[in-house]
Formats: sequence, structure tokens, C-alpha cells
Amino acid sequence: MNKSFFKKIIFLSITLLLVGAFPFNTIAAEDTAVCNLTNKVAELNNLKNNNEIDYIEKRDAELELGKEVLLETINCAVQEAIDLKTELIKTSIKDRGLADLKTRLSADIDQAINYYRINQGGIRDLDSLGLKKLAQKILDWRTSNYNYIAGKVANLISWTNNQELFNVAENRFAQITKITDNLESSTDKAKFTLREAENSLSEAKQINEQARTDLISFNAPEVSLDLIQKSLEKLSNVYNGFSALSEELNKILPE
Amino acid sequence: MELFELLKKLNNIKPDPEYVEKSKRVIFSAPQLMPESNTWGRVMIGIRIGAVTSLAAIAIIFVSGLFGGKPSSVSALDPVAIRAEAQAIDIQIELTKFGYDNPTTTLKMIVGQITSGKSDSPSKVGENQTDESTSTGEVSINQALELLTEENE
Amino acid sequence: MANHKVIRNQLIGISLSTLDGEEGIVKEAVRGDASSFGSLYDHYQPRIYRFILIKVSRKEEAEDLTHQVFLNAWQNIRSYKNRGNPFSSWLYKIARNQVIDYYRTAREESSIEDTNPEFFVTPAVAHTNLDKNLEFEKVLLALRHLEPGYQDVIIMRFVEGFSIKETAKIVNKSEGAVKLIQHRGINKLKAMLS
Repeated sequence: MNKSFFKKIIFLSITLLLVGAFPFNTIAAEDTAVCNLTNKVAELNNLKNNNEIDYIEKRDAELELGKEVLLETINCAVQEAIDLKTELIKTSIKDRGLADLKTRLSADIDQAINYYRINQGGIRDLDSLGLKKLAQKILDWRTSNYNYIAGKVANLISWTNNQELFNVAENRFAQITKITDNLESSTDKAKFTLREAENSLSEAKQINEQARTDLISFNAPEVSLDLIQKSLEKLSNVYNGFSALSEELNKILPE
Repeated sequence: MELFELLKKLNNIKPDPEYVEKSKRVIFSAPQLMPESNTWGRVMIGIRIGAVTSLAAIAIIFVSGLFGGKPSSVSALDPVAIRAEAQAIDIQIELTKFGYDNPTTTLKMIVGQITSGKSDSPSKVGENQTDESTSTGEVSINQALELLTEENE
Repeated sequence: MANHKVIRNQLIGISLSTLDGEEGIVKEAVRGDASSFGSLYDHYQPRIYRFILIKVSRKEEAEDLTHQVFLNAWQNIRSYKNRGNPFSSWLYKIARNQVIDYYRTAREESSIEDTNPEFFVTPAVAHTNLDKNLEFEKVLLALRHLEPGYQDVIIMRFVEGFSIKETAKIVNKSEGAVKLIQHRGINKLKAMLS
């Protein structure tokens, strides 16, 4: 199997997946849409803006529709939390510290679902002021509590998945180093570029580790997210080096 | 005094004339709500995020895996493979930027991209997200809650 | 003579429950005629004010809430539809909603148990020319402790002087129901005041 065969396989895969991905993406959005607030909210907006109906009737109708919207909103929030937990559970985590975090976050999500369910009861008996206050209460809770949990979960999954990118980068670096070391005609430029790539990779791994430590802490998700982002940016620099090396060394490698 | 007499006498309670004049002036200067036919409320129109372009990057990684996992001395310097891996990293970077605003939606994208091969073009990931709408342009949970907390007119 | 006076007063009371030619005035107001709405305002504003004041007992709150009732009415009069009930029924419903919202907010902000009930009663009576303030204070306090449904009927029947028929239309209940509510409401009041 020669180089051109590999290239053909790769090209075919790219083409098939580009063509195949379009319908997958369209279907995916609908498959995952178990909650649809849009219609109910549009109905409420229409009612609010309708000045043709009697003021009292409108107020009563707004209250009833508002209750339906709130009930559906909470259903959606519960489903969102269930989806979040599903993705968390699916993520395979070998690291012990992060596995404990996974368990903790799973319990936090269960508590969030309970919170929604508790607040869902009694909506039917609310008046307009009560409805507004409950909606505000849940909104505030989501901002202060749920966003934290969801942010931590997203970061954990993101970090876990990123490790594959780091592994691939390390393997590629190891192979390129082997080639460069064994190639007598390696240029100084190539060696310099390789050292730069090595430094970038080392820094990327360091920041990656910091992100891991921060994930386990009780810091706000924004902190670990920032570290995850920085580690990926460093990793991206490594690949700038790989591209340069590929260009340089392919010139001197025998066919 | 008998109860009914007392209740009747309560009819003598009158509002302060000064207050009445002031209130009337303020009321008549306020605009009236005009009934209109075909009045429709705001309808949330989202823009569906475009299809995959860099899914190929993930495919490359899998394809490389199929042929032995570690890059051979030939593929180690393969510019196509290197470019694909670099793109995969760039996608992840874009998703982390988006994640500051909406972790749950980001998660769907991250997971969708990595695990099931569905993902969105990185250039469109950041679009339409400043108001926390979902990736499909539907009304979000927070938007619905905000609507319910609005003051009635 | 005294009997004639009573009958005459009662007749005046009944004729003043609705504005003369009210249907036509309301139609004009709905079409946007400000002076027609002004006539409605002049006629009903004292009644709505009294209605609210008896329920909330504080002059300042009653003024604010009454203002809000008529502001809402003015802003939404264009969409008013006559469904067989008098115009006052619409106004009283707006007023009842305002009072309900007021109580909800007041409950959130402070505990009523912590507040001296006199604080609620005295200012309402003090600014009027009512004699025997103590008796009126007691009646107002007792009224305030009645359920809203009883309050509404008693205010309309015995404070405003509306007939059973008129009251039934305003509160959107049958005449029989109004009679029953009135009977029970008065009994409760008497029990509280004895």
C-alpha cells in the first residue's frame, strides 16, 4: 500500500462524509428537539400585542396561557437537565479525581430536576403576580445554580474529549522527532522548528493539567473553561510547527 | 348607630378634589391602546446552523486509527492529515469561546461533534447566540422565563 | 313625610347607579371621544375610590389604585365590548384585580400581624366628615376582614345603594346568589361587631 492509496482513501472519506453530513445534521436538530416552547411563546406574544380583545378577557387569557408557558418551560428545563446527565454518564472517565467530580455533578443534576419538579406543582393556582414571581425565581436560580452545574459538566466532557487530541498530537510529535533524528539531512531550520513544537506541546500539556486541577476545584466554570481554551490554543501552535516541519522534511525525504 | 345606617353613611366618603383633578389630567394625557387587525406578536426566527465542513477532521483521525492508530513514518508528515488534526483543534477552540454564554447548548455541540459525528461549522457557532437562543433558533428556556417576568401593559 | 323622603332618596340612589344615557356615552368613549370618557370618569371615580378605600383602608393607597383603575380603563377602552353587563361591572372588575395585586405585594413586603390595625383604619376615616369615628372605624375594620366576595356585595348594596338586580349584573352572579351572599355577609359583620 503506497502513499497515493492512502491519499485516495482519505479523499474518499472526506467526500462521503461531507455529502453524508448534510442530512445527518438536519435530522439531528429535529431528533433532539423534545421541547418546543416557540409555538406557545409566540401565542403568548400574539396575545400580549392584541389590542382588539377586551382588557379583562385579555388579562385572564394571558394568565392562563402564561401558566401553560411556565409549565412547558419547566418541562423543557427538566428535559435539558436529563439530557445533560445523559451526556455526562456517557462520558468515560478514567481519571479518579474527575470520576468523583462526575459523580458529584450527576447528583447535582438530580437535585436540579427535583427543584424544577417542586416548583412546577401549584402553578395552576397562581395569580398573575405569583406567576411573574415564580418565573423570576426560577430564572435567578438558573443563573446562579444551574449555569454553574451545566458549565462544569460541559467543561468536564470537553476536557475529557480533548485528551484524544493531545494523544494524537503527542504521537505525531514522537514520530516526527524520530524522522528528524534519523534523517541525516535534517536542516537546522527543521530542528529549530521541532524544538519550538516541543516547547508548545509541553506548555499545552501543562495548561491542560491546570485545567484538570481547576475542574476538580469549586471555582467558577469560567476559570477552567479559560484554561481549556488556552491549552487548545497552545496545541494549535504545535500543529503550526508540524505543518512547517512537514513542508521542510518532505522536500528532503526520499520518494 | 345601626349597622345599615353606618354602612349607608360610608357613602359620604369622597376623594380629595385636588387628587381627582391631578389624576384626571395624568390619565387623559396617557396614550390609548389602539385595536388593530392582524396584529401579530414577535415571532422568534432562528437561523439553522449550517452543515458540517470540518467533520472530515474527525474522519481523518478515525481513518488513521483504522490503519494502525499511530502515524507511520509516511503519514507522520502527511500535510492533509496534519491539517485535518489542526482543524479539529480549531473547532474545539471555537466551541469553548461559545461556551461562555451558553454551556448547555455548547455541550450539545461538543458532544454532537465528537460522539455522533454531527457538528456545526465553527464560523457559524458563535452566530445568533448573544441572546441565548438555541442552535436551532428556537425560544430558549431563559427567554421564555424572561417573557413571563415582563410587566404587563 | 319622612317615609316620602326615604323613598325619594332611595329612588335617587337607584337612578344614580348608572349614568343617564350611559349606553350612548360608553359607545362614544369606545370610539375615542375623550369627553365621553370624562363623563364616565366623573360618575364612577368616587364610587371606585370608595370601593377600594373600604378594602385597603389607606387613603394614599386608595388614591394610587383608583388612579391605576382609570388609567387602565382609559388605555383599554377602545377594546371594551358590551356583553350585556353594565359598564360599571368592567370598572369594578379592574378595581378588584388592582386590590388583589396590592394585597399580594403588601403580604410580600411586610407581615400584617406586625402592623397595628389602627394604622390601616384611622387615616381612612380621619379625612372624611363622618361623625362617631370610633363606630365607623369598627365597621371598616370588620369589613376589611370579610372575604372579598362578601365585601363586594355589601359595599354595592348598602354603601352604594345598588339594587339586587344591579348588584347581580355588576358582580356577574344571579340575583339569588347575591341575596345569599348579602345575608351571610351581614351576619358575619354583625358577629364581628357584637
